[in-house]
Amino acid sequence: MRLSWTYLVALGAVAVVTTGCGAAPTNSWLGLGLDDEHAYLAGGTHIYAVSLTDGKEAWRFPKAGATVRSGGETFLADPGVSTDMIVVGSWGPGTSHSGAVYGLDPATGDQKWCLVFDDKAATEPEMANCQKSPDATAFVLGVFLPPIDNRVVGGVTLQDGVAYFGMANNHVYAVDATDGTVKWIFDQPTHPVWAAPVIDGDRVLVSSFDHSVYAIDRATGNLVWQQDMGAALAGGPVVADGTLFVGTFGNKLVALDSASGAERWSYTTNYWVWDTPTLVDGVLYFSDLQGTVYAVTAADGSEVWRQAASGFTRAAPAVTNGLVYVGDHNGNLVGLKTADGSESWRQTVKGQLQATPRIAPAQGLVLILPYQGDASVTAFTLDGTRVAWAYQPTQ
Amino acid sequence: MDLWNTLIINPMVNALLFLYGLLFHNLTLTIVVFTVIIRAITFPLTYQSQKSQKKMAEMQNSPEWKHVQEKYAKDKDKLAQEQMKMWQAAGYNPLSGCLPLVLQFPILIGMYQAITNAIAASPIQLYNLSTHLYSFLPGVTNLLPLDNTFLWLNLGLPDPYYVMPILVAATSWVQSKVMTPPPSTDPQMAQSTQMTALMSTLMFAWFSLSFASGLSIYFIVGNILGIIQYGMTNPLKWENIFSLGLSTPTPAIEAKGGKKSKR
Repeated sequence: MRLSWTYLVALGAVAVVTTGCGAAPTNSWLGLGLDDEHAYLAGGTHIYAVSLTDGKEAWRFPKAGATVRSGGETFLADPGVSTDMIVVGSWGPGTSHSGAVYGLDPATGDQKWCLVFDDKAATEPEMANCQKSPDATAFVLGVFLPPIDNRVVGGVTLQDGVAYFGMANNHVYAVDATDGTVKWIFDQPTHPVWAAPVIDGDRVLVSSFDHSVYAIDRATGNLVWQQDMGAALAGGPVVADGTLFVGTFGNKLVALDSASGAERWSYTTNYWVWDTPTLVDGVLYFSDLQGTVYAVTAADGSEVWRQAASGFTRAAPAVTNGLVYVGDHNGNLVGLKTADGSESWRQTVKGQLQATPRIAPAQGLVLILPYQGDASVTAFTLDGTRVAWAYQPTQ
Repeated sequence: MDLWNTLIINPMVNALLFLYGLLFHNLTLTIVVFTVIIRAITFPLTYQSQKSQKKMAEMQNSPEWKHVQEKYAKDKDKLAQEQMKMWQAAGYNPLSGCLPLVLQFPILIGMYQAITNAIAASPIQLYNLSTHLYSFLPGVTNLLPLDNTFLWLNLGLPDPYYVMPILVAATSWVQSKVMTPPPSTDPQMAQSTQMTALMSTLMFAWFSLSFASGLSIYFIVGNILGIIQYGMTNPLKWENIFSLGLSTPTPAIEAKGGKKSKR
């Protein structure tokens, strides 16, 4: 009798640990897109438009009382923002990973169009008016044969009326942002694309977990070149003056010729470089996961400075007004001087700063998105002296 | 938490990745082999626990214990004292049964966390994985991302067709039934054993429904290995598989106010 009850209690403990302590409440940090007046927060259950002036909510999607997909949806990827459209991707309801992409009116949050990627979503009544991607995973004898993973993880890039995004299903999409029509699909990556694509003239540059950077013809979706980087890439590249720069899990930041993909130089770091480097005035600012922040000359990869400023640091720094803003795992937002990397100020908030800090220049704010913190968005003044506002969605 | 990571999670995550590199980058095969290794390591604990359970069940079915139960049916304290005396006389330590069992749970939790971290289906899982890797293990980073597809499954996601939860529940049920110690004539004991079988089956089925299907592979292989390990030292009771109840309480015990067990 005692033995059996001991067993049951222990099983219960396992359940608590595996569902509570062992698992994270969400699968990722929150996403953010900005225009001049609003921050668009991919805040889990909703997209929230928040005024950059005072942190007040302007609208949310789906709206209160609106019909939503059975089981709800999760929004975690950075929205793509333009003056007349916001494009957001979801992770799908529950654990289905049957994601969708939506076009929203930036002024009201009203849905303009939606796009689904599998028959599961297409057959849901509330998604009846959505377009279906030409590569949608189909039912065969009533079931999906391959596993589906149609999540938009890395965010959406909006340029010239076209939304570009990669998905966990290994594909990259170009979609007409006015109505959601798929222009082309690039299906050569063999592993998920977690980073938002980058536009370089007539090319779309994409990094993938399959260790490769791809240059895709922007008009046709055809491959221009592919470069094997020797390790997985989770963050996207940044490109300037014919050179793209990308960090790898092989402890490197690499510069490639954006025309041919040929390597120009590489710089070795202490650990993985996850996020996209920030390029300002010919200097690349980036961090590795161990918390070292680097400033490297874009022209030749020579080191300007390196600074062990923080704890574990996943996110790229934001740079403005002579300061490098770095967020770390321990909730520290640190301002480093661009000149030498020395610390100018430091603020600590509850939660992990896994998302890249974002600058709202007109309001003079640096925005952070603490993961598992007290607020979804906290806006500090650029000098780091005070919190201008903090936003936490109400239920 | 640091100690937990250092002693349990980090070795398991790195061992899993090391095996993945050796086993042709096949994650399913890696989880199977990893489970076999973990089961082999914990076998002494499992064996000790099973031996102890068997000994207790035999004692509780003995005429001496029945006599003591009848004699002290209305005096619980005295009954407990007599039980302790019998245990001491037989050289049975109650901790020897449950302690090995409890010691296995950190390993189970560690396996769960190691597999979910290694599969790294989400950014947070991948971030967590990065904090567990040994820098001195060459080439581990180059193994990422792991190939997480197997048949219709994405091993980082729950099975959308519920095949794996059904298999987990079935193997868990079979394991708990064929490994049942000798039928107890104590109705409370029988009821408790029956409930344990049912609860553990439901619990693992729920785990399988909720979490990555890679874990389901671990559960299924673990259950099958558990049956094999038990069968090496004890008779397996296949006839119990379709039985909800385990034993019929003796009329004498029922007459003394014991609860009726369901068949």
